[in-house]
Amino acid sequence: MQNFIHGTELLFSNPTAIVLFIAGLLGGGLFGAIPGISLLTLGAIILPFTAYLSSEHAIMLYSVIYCSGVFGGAITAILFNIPGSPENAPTAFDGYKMTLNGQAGKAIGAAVLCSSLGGMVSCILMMTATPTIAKWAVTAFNSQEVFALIFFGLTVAVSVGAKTLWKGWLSVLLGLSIATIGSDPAGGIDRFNFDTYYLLAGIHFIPTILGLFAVAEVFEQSRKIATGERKKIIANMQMPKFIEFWQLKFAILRSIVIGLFAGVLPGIGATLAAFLSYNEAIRWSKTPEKFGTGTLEGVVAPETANNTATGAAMIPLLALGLPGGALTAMMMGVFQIHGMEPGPLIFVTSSDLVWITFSAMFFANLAIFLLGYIQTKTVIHLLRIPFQFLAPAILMLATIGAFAVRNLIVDVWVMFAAAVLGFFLRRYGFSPAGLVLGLVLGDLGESSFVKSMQLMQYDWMGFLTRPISAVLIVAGVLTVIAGFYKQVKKDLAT
Amino acid sequence: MSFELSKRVRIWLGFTLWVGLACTAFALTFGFKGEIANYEYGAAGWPRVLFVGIVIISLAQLFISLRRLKRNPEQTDEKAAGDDAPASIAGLPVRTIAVPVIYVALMPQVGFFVATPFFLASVMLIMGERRYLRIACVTAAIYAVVLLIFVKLLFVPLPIGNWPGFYDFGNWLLVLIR
Repeated sequence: MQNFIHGTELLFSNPTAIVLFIAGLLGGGLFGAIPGISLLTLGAIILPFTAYLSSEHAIMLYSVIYCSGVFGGAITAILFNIPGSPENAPTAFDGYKMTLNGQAGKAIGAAVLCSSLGGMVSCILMMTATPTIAKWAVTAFNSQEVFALIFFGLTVAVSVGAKTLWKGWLSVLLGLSIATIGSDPAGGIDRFNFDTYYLLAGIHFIPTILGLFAVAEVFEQSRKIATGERKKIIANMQMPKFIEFWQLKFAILRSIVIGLFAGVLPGIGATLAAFLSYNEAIRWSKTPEKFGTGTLEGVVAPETANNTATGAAMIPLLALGLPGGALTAMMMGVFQIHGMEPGPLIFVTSSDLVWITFSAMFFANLAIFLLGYIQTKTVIHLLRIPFQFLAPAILMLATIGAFAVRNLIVDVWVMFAAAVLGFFLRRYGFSPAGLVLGLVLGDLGESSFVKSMQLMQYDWMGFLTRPISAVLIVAGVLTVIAGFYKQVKKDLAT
Repeated sequence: MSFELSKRVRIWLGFTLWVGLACTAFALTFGFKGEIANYEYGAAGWPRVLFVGIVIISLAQLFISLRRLKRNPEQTDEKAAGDDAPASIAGLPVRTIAVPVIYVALMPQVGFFVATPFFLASVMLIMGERRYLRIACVTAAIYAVVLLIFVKLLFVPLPIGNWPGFYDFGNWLLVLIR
């Protein structure tokens, strides 16, 4: 506690630190909300300038950007079906449906509260148990566990938003298949790239997500306008009630645990935390059929997990010098610029740096709550803009977002192709959300499978010899069997 | 241009699409060049499993759908509402898709700065807006915000065009803004 107070003093007694804290908070929120221009863009832009800052201030700035950036994209995901960052993509599955149902205020309120709560819990954990957790995570979680975790997650992804289980499986398998485009993770051999330079790096998921959600939604609304089916969206500012959160207490707790695991494990991070948490929310729900139609739990689960993962991602970085994602890798760059090496000794040699960072992250999450409340009351008025004026702005934002990822016009083509695909998938009862889950989890799933096979010398039983992977694999297989059994029974009865 | 397919044709068409896609992709895996020394399943192993999965699930879906159709031939659950949209491909209005396609096709040639105002106005028109003064004002407002945020503040290198004249204009505007 004394250390935390000391960190808080360091943060708020220095005008430079206060300015950087506020700049990081607002900058992260803004960059997180603009699709294609992620917090990584901001991180990359400011990296060279960190040389002019003290190491404490530089790392503190990045940690604040990380917290507010992960939250920022939730607003556009909920209001316009445009996930500002990949971490917010699952928030759009139900958040946007809530907006269409006239519950935008409730969805944003839930996202604000849960992001803030998740972030603060992970900060507290980070302050109390960083070295212990980091050591445990690195030894207990191998590639087998990562593969088992992804397999477990995918088995439930098939039930997100599809009309039948068959269509859910086809959507997920299509996403996994698209993820194989580019080169294979074992030997870098070209796959489905048709000797084109563009496809060498695979299909980028940001243009795909923008197309499947934002642009496909404009297409759908355009169809509704053409056929006279479109209903006006009501800009309701009603915030979620305490009782509604209380009813979701287990979902919030589960998402915090998933966020912590995902953040601590290198290579998983906030994006997968959000997707896995959404999947688990469906698995454990008494009304899984409501997911994808605008349920509060569908917003609460990913938003709690993705912000929890931000604090947790700092644990292996600081305690072991292992960056778990791109932004924490940039923080490694900041350490190197200042001639430092993170690891167990940093708690002794640079305790000021550690505690100002911890305090800044805690207060950034607290500020998200306050800022989010103001945002809820203000940005929701954007829904009052007639759709014929909103549509070009959405298309423009999506076009620039897709282009800005790699400055390639082909990404814009990919986005529009994904939009057409998304339009037809939705129309015929398939699941764009399932496709995205397959696409996002596919790369990591295959690479962890490859590593596992090499480690286990192609003995498949190796998955069952490690307790965590065995539990996840068995649970996943049981989920598949139960799902097929229920679907076949239902199909044969009709 | 709108057309309607019978339920049976839709089922077979869907099955053919999925299986055709999976089989084509499976055949393409034989073209992967190179061996991986330390991984015996090779580059094709993982994708092949996925394609086989697609075929199996498609077969299951075909069987179930045909069985259901045989039992209840009157059902129309897969006929989505709005198939009667004017000039549409299975409900997707042609003009909605044509405008972005023309925009993206022209953007590298005429540049973002020239193509965008026309694109913005066209989208408003196809969404049913007919008040031209409002269209002009909203186009100007969105255009100005885009230029300010993405060009002036974020330095996103948007295409300035290749065709003579358009390139010069795009370049001039870029210099002016920055």
